[in-house]
Amino acid sequence: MNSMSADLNQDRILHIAKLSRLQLDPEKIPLYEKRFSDILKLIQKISALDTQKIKPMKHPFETPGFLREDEISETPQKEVYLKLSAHSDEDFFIVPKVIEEQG
Amino acid sequence: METLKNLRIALDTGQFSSEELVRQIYSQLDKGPDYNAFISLTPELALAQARAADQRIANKTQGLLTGLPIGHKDLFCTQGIRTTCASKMLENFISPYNATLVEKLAQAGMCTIGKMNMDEFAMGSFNEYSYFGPVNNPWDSKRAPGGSSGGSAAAVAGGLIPATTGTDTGGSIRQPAALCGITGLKPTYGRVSRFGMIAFASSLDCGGPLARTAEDCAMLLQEMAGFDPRDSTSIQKDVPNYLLHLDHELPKGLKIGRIPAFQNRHLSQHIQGQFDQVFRQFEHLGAEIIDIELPHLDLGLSVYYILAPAEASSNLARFDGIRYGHRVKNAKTLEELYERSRQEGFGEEVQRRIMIGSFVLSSQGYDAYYLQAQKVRRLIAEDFAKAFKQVDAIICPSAPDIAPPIGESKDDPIKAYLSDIFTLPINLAGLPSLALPCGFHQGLPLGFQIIGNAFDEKKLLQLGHQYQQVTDFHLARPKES
Amino acid sequence: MMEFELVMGLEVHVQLLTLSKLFSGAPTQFGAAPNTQACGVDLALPGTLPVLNRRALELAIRFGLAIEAQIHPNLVFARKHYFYPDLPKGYQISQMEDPIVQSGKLEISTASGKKNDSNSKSTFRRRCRKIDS
Repeated sequence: MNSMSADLNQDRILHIAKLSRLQLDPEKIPLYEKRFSDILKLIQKISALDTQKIKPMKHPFETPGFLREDEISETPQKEVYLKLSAHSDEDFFIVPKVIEEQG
Repeated sequence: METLKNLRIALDTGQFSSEELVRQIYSQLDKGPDYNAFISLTPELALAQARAADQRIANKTQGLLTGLPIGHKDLFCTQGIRTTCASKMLENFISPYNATLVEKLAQAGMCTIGKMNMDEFAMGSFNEYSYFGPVNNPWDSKRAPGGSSGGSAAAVAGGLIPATTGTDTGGSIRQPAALCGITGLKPTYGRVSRFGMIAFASSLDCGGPLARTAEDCAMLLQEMAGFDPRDSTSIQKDVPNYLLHLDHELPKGLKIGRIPAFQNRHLSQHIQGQFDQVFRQFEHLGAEIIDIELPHLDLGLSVYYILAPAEASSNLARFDGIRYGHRVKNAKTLEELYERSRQEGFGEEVQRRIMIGSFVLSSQGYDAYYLQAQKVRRLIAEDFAKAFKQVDAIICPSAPDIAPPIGESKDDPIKAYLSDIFTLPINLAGLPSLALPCGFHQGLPLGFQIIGNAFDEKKLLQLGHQYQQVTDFHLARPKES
Repeated sequence: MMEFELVMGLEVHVQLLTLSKLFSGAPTQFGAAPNTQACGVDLALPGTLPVLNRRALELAIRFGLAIEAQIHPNLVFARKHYFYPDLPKGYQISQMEDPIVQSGKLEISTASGKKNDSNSKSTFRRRCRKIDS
């Protein structure tokens, strides 16, 4: 874990951008490296704490969740929803063809 | 601009109608200045709502908020009206439904004046990260109003509108309330429904009111609060009458906690004196001030900047341009569609946080950062729980300094992050906090917050109201520019 | 010569017999036309939130009891992230650490007729709730 900040180089940043589905401007990568390095310094402050016996807190209150009755409560609105898209026809949202590599 | 309370009296006694009030608001906006506080104005809707309200007032069937104007932070979905989150990604997104909070306030008879400017997707501390331009602080137009509910705060401070809605994930209601010299409430997590409130960090986001006074915030919370079956994280707990007993004296033996070490470490030297005054004021009102320690508070910033970006990267994964939102033209592959739509649609701070989030959730980062942060979050929450065994409320500043010049922190995001040092631990613990103005420095407002135990909003509002009966900071208005 | 024992794992996706979806009140009729049963929650419209179907939970628990499984007392959902056009939220709401139903067994008859032979018992590792769009 201590090697994290040293490893936040161009390759790592491009990998994270890929995970995030963001196309980074190559000229801005040095700036990204600097920003990330600053942020890493900030967030690494918690690494020193011994938290072995502490249970992670996923949510402010662990109250019983609300369950919905099994009823149809939504009316069909296909036209309304399809119209929200920049590229759709009467039935579908349209995306570029996904070409699987053969072999 | 008057308070909601006084406007209620004026409407009920026929001094003017809701329609006249709404027209006057738009006329003032036309003349300017508007501080760039609004992204969209909704006069057709507001006037229709005002006319309906005037009918109810004529029939004497009005409620507490009937006919009163409201502005909604532009991440609350409004049916038929665009909801942009101050982002190019949603620049033309017209929601087909209303957020529960919007619906509730509309049912209560409020008139939606417009959608308020904000930091993009609620990520920012100075309202400098908006696709629609920065918001100006009415106290000094070259300075920031705070963020991310900067438009909501500036509009109230500038007298454009008496009240607005905002959201607080790491301080985004309380910090701009402080920097603009107004009152804002972050309720307990789950007190106000998140359905229709476009998500930034799901375990931290809270919707709440911004207004001139604690009493006005109480009026709004009364209608905003409550369980919503469409949000299973909203709490199934009765909503008390927040306005009842607001005027009562503080209960005898009330203990207020002060965190001197934490406060002194992070508060700007030149404003420490004004905050001492706040404690003296509460002593004068009969409270006992007790110094307490919350040993893990300093780690709040690190925990927040792991968990919030992690949750944001997840919540913003849906923005791919396919079903709604910005879509790049002529993408040849699916990957190109995703990567270019998102790169074009999101601003720099949003992209930065998505990437931090992806990093801390990645297989290399998960245990060391995300899991560790969740554990330290529990330590912070436990610090507060222990504190509330000794005291009834905790008071500390809402911001470490006065409003900075616009653009000053754009080259140094960490500086902006530090602006939330006092506010974000409260979000991590899910607790409520009321922010109130308490003075000025170099002509710019200062604010403090009263933090309560879970669902103690009634107590906080009473404390705030009592404080505002013996001080006049909430009555101050910026000079007309 | 080495002998090999065949161990086969099966991942079985079963659609539950509910009227509405796992996390939304949209209908789940088999064979409906595309996009006619997708509501705002399913399409991941900004601001929408999932709410768990009580009946689906009951059916899962019932299944677990039927296979003598362990029913976990806490319900924890996790988001499994990937980008694909048929995954509107960009994540699947699934269960990772503590699935609702874990372990359990089912006796099956084989051609050799050995019903209670441990070789003919299939064991269940986990049974968790998942959502696809």
